[in-house]
Amino acid sequence: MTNLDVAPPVAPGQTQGDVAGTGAVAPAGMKNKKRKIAALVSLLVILALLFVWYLMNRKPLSELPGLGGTALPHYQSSIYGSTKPLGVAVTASGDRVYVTASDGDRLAKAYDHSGKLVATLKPPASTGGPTAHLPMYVAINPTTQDVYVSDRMTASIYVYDANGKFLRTFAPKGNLDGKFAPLGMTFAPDGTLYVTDVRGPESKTHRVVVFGADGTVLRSLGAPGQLSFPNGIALDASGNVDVADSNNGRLVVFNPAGKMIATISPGVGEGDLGMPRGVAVDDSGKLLVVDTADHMVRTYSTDKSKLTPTYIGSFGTEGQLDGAFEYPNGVATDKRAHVYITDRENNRVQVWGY
Amino acid sequence: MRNGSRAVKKLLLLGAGSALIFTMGGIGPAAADAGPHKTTMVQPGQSGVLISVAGGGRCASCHRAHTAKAEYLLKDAQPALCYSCHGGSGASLDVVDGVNNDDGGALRGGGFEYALINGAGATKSISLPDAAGKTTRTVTAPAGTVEAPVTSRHQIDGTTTGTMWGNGAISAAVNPGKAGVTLECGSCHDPHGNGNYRILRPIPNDAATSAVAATATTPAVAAVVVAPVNIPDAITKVYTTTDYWAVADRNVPTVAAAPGVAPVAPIAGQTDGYITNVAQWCTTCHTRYMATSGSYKTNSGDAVFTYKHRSDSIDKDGVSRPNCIQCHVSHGTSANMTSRAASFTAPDGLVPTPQGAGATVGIGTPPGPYTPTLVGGTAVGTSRLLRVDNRGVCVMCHNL
Repeated sequence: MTNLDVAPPVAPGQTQGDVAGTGAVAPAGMKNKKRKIAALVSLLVILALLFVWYLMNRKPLSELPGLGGTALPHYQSSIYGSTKPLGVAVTASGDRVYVTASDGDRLAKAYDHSGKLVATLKPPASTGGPTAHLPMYVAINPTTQDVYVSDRMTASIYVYDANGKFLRTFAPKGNLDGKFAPLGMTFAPDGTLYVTDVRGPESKTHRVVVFGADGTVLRSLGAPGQLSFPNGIALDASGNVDVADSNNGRLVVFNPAGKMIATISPGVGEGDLGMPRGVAVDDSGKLLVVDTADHMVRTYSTDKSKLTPTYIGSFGTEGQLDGAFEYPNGVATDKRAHVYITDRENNRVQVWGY
Repeated sequence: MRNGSRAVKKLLLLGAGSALIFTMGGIGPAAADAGPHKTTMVQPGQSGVLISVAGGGRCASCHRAHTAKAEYLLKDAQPALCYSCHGGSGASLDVVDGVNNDDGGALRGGGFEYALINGAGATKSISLPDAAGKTTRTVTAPAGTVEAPVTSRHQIDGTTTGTMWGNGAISAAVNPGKAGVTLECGSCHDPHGNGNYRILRPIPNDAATSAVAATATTPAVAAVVVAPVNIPDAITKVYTTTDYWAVADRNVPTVAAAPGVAPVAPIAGQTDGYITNVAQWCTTCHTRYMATSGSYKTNSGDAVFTYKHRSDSIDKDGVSRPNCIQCHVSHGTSANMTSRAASFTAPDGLVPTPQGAGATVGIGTPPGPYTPTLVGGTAVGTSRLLRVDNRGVCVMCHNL
């Protein structure tokens, strides 16, 4: 202790700052305490304001440095409970994962983020018996959070609420120009619905049908003979429509006007496709295409300046272990940097993340 | 992997005339005989065919030259590889569910997990005698409107072993057939397309080795040399049915066309080329099931297949006749067997167990990776690929 540290003497019955034992606190000490409290409150207010600002302006985790761009996800976990799953959809927060089962009970199911089953989506008896259905793909309407399940066998799309309660069978309005056999689905932010349609015995009639939010048939994409068993479908930030032209082994990109502007080719070269099925575009603009024949997910960037998506890389390999696929099919992304892939022959949905 | 694949592609292009290219043509979608299964081979008389078009990289959908995971350079094992298309989302014909997804029609061969065979709905009508005292019978085994789990099927998972009943030569010693046989889709079908209806192989894979090996309990059966059987192709192909008892397919000519040659058009009144050939085709495997007229009272000399129902009849006038496929389907059936019909013993003295996703456990546990599901809690027994519930197939013809 130095001389500067020496405190003035304190008489018995007197405390530091107490003037002549009167009990009155010295103004300087009081100000110090108030300043400290004020600083603390200010800090808390600033933190609170920052938190509110974050909530209002937060960006997806996938856009944080090092997570978007050319990064590839890694395996995190799996959701079990659906047999031979094909389609998957997930809410933005990842709190509900909807999965279609093509075998077993052949129903769509909803799981929470931990993989716990929370609901089974059952079509009513009036739509046929328990084996009359074969759910294929699933999508979430962003304007209502309703869940749409395509059923090729009954040529229908069934609509459920977010909790899995059956609401109605999707009823197209207008001229569908013949039969309708829905597979993949995706929604525009305004509720416009895009559906891949594999009606007819030959690929000459396969197409994409676009419905307005009220179910009105707006238009179709794909000239006769252009698409062969189109499966997954997704919209990118530019409004382009990415379609897995599955049996032609390629991905087709239509611009918002419906003109085919680019393809990702079939083949065995870098970024080429074998048999694409599920398609998704995450919130960073990364295009994900499930190549069921190659047991992996291929990723591409969707740069507005380029018509053709640029190949980034692939993840997954063939097998039964964690992170390996046996005929993956559907893909979906949430806004928490997670990718969900149905792993058909392994009877699970794999969750990958960054 | 991609770099390696690129090298493979170069090799394929360089080896344009190689057998590899020729044997890898074709890929996967749509109807079996055509579409992607149609061979991409360069045909005699063609020249300057662009390999980039003929190959098109499609070989890689099913094959890998250096990193294959299954025989025949398949990138994956059957049937999962086949089910990628024929399981719902990539082809018209869904053999898992036994349905033609284009129109909801019932596949004539049924499915491997579900089928649209209304075995309980079969009917028979007999007219009053006419002036000559003759009656006319009308029988139907309608297709169902709702799929039902199969109760028996050809096991095609490639790993489960079974007995190829009746395979081998006539044997005085008890021998039910060739044991330890595994089947895959490709055992019967040629995925590259071969000019045969339903791309059926002239000789199914395992039939060529039809000798039954000796075991401690069964003596050897002499080898049988089976002749290839071509099911003629047809211009108009019929994959579905509304009546499982109407097995005739008059579109199929009796004269088989050579691969790459346009099939002969059917002629009205001519014998059905499918029925004509199919019994011979089935018995390339089930050799000793072939039986001619009178076999029901003629001792064949075989210790197991001693007296047999005729199986070689052909369709001469549009009316179905006793034939393998008159009573049985090839993929799987949803017909149900109860009571005595469910518990008949197989030629090896064992009672087969029900199979399929919806099979119920009567005796034993269904083989394979399938979890049996109780249907109404009732054991349905094995149905032996029959088209009608119980032994309804007998009553369809015979008025008992």
